[in-house]
Amino acid sequence: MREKGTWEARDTAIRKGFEELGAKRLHHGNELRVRLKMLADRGFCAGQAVGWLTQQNRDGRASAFVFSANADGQAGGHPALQLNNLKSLDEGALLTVVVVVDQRTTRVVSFSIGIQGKGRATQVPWYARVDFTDARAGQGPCGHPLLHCHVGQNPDATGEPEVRVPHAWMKPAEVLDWLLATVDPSLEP
Amino acid sequence: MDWKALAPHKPLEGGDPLHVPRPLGDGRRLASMMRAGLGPFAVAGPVGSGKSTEIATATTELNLDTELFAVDLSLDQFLNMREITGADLLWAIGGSLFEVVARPHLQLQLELPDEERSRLTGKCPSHQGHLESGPYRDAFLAVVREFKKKALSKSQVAILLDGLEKCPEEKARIAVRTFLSLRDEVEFAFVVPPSLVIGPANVELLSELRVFPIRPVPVIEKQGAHWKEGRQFLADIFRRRMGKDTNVEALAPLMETAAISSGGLPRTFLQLMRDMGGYATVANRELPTREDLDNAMRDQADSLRRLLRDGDMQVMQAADGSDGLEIPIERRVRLLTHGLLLENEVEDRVIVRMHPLLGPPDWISLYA
Amino acid sequence: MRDASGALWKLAHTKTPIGLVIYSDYEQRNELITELELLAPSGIQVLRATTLDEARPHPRALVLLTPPDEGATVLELDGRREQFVDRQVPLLLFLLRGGEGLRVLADAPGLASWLNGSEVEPERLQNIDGAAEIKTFIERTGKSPEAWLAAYEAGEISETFENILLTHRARLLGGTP
Repeated sequence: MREKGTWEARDTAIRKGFEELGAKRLHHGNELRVRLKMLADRGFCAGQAVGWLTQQNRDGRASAFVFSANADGQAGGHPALQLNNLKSLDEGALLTVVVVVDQRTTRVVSFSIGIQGKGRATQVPWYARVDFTDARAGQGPCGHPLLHCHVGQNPDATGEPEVRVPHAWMKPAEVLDWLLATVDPSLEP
Repeated sequence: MDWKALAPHKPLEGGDPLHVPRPLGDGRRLASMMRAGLGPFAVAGPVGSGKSTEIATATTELNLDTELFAVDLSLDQFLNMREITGADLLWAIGGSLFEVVARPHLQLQLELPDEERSRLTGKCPSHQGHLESGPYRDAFLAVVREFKKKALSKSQVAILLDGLEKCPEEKARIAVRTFLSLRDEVEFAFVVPPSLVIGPANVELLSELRVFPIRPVPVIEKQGAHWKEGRQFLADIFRRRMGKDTNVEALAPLMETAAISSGGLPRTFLQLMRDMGGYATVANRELPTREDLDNAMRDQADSLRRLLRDGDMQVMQAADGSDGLEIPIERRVRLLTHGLLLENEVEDRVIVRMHPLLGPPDWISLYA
Repeated sequence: MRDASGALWKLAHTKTPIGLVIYSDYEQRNELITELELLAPSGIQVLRATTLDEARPHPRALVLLTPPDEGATVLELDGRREQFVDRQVPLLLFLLRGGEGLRVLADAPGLASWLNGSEVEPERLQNIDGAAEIKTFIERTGKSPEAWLAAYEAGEISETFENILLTHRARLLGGTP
């Protein structure tokens, strides 16, 4: 028997995790800025990076934390942060961050945090991105878990099969920790 | 670029190499009028127009005169300007004069009776509960007379005072009365709040002194014939403060727009240029762009709009280009003091204009 | 365009002696304090203070001043501002939007003039023009944010990187989260 219920239970737990975070009124923007300041202070990115992560509000309902147009990179048609001096990625790797929250409750509604670049030694393109959306999309909870990760060479690849690796529950700042530690072990929290 | 060097909030001291003479040489003009004994002078103008800097310039100019000794004082460095008394003022200017003449370039040790010396070198009178101004007046006059006796060639003393514009109107009026009572002994010029030199309530006071306005420099033709010199003056301030190594030519069009947007107020011009530089730095740009200046202009406009009260915009729009006398006094004083409404002399007539940053967005580009 | 964090970064890094941060409630004030601590120039001490006397001995620290009586502090600062003229790093005064401090500031022309251009009201800069942003979204995607989200949830939109980012944008611009 195919145990769809197990997968649905996983998604439910993930939703519950974000609801509980909302109850704590966590400021995801500032949590991310702590990491950006550390990156800037250690020379991995421009000193202005903390000032590039900005908040956008719509009608008191939703807020997004995104890089502003001041940021020094572009990825996926959006502003991104250039990362340098990483152990495993060549100069000019790009960090993208979008976190959408309910402005009233601060509950996370959706996010994508990713890094893309070229292997320092191999020069082979590489990317990893963690996506979350609290609304079901496309396939079922197994093929399209709410919180999942993409890893590969081309962030725009839509070839067959579409791979979404289920991801353990993490808040956005922890996702950033994980990605950074992946591309440079010295950034292990 | 070191945008911090612009320091818009900092008035220059007399003789500062960063000083740029104004198109109509206000500081020098004030000095020559004081030398001719035409005072006392009430120096008035909107915030950021350069009153403190011109007071300092006039002091330096006056001291070139062998017969005159001039000193400028920022009263707010000694006194809480919201609580001043006549005794406090006399203590501040008498004590400062006593201390200044003992400095190396004059080295005059004035001989004062112990009681008067201790009065001037002691604590601020109101902190000691001394409210009677008579004894402090005597001590002040003793310093002036002793100085004139000791400094043989310097037969005249001029005192130029900054800071009264921070007083509530009534306190400023008391201060001016105190200075007027000393006019036979000392040439005075003092910065005053505009509320003290506008309106019928001040007619009596105005009959005893001369108003010396420090207005915004003209930066468009409608503000006065010297508008080209006005723009050049602001550009020269920028050049002087940023230093020789700055690529000023690359910034010329932005500087021109900032000058027009400032309404001719030097502080606003420097704030715009500094904030433009700040926005360029946030975006990791060495040279600022028009977008950076636009952002700086929006910041300034937001600040100015926060000062507006109901009806201000309509009143200013209606008065634009007129003498502004139809605006009720209280409102006119507030608008002029904040620099929301700017006065300029055009063909021997004073006219008012709304600050350009409060106008429609395309207004500034018309003059660029 | 101006954005809140960029404007705060500029404020914390500009050598203006005094700056102003306008907040809308105490929760936001606390968040802004944390943000400014992170935006401060590296190696600069950040000091939280509630009185001018606490701030005065620290001209090289970024001082975040949250006075209990905002009106009285504005008056005091107006009278004492010459004492702060040589600050190397700004003193940032927090005032409540619509509060007594801002009301008093409008009657303190000298201080207000110093602050011109050095005032940031983050909430105002954070609020996007919803109608304009939706128009831009439609021009870019050919769909309203709601239609985009419906298509995404139906699995009709390929998961390119750009499309994923547009989906988050649609969530910001679309209906109630």
